Amino acid sequence: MSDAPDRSDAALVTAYRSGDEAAATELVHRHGGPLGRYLYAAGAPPGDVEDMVQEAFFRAFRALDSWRGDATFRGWLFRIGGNLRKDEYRKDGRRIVLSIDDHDVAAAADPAGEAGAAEMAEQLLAGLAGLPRLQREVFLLRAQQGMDYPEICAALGTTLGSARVHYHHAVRRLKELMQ
Amino acid sequence: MIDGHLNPDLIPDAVHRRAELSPADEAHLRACLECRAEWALVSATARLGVEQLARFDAGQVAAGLQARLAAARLPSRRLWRWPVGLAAAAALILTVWYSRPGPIDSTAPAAAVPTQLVLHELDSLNLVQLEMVLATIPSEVGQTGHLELVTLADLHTDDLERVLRSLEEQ
Repeated sequence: MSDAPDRSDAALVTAYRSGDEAAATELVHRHGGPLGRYLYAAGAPPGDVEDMVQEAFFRAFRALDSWRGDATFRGWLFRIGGNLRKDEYRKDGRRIVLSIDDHDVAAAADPAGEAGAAEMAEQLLAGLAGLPRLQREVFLLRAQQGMDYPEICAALGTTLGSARVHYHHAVRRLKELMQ
Repeated sequence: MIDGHLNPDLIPDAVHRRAELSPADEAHLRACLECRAEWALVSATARLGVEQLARFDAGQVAAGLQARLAAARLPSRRLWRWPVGLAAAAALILTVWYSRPGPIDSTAPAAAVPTQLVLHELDSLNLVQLEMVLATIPSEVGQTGHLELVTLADLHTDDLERVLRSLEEQ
């Protein structure tokens, strides 16, 4: 591991390019977990998440020359992860859609209830699976990852206005499903 | 507040603790079902996967990644070693041959001295690789006109061993 844990992503990428292989490990420890949760929320089976995260990082490091720095490394990585998920989805030819009809929506709507948390997560996954891809990605980057709109726009190659609209539609639709 | 509700930008920022709710915002959140539902949605999304991926092993991912990156780098390194080794060998052949006493007779008539240098081992190199080889050749070589045809087969055993050792060291 590196002696400088607070180095920025860009500094770590520069270090990796200079031959510091530990910098890659540090980036995995920094972004691997969040990327895994993003892929899971986008429909990746939990058992496949580690492999997909590794694949996303592998693609990223093999294509570092194409990262121009206009997007953050995190945003760029998540974009690669999103594309990977899309490829997997097409390859599988299947879609994971969980029915929300059989669940107790009222119980899940209580954010303080521990018992409802798992059910709420399940309903949320089902709702996310039903969203158009860009809506889902914008919503997840904003609500799950806490990115701001400029970072989301750079990552997904969309405009600020478009990203806001996608987020708004996603929130409205998910709220309808979960209320 | 926007249209009587919390600014939608505020909710994800507050959930991720990049912004704080004012007392008025908190009071509104307690009273407004719509905003509470949105807060609950964003909060649940922010937690999504934390429990399900509790066993996510970043160290294992990193180890696998390093192994794959190393494997991906190997072929190009191996391909690159061959011309570099050949370049070193060619330079060594020239140096050894050029410094040998005997075959070179400085008093011989110029017309009898071979003036062309032929290294068949270089035939398969591309332009960049060939430039590397040429860059390793001493500058005085080629100016004297006293070089003869040199191939690996022309070397004595000791010289050949030196060439092979230089290849192995690459």
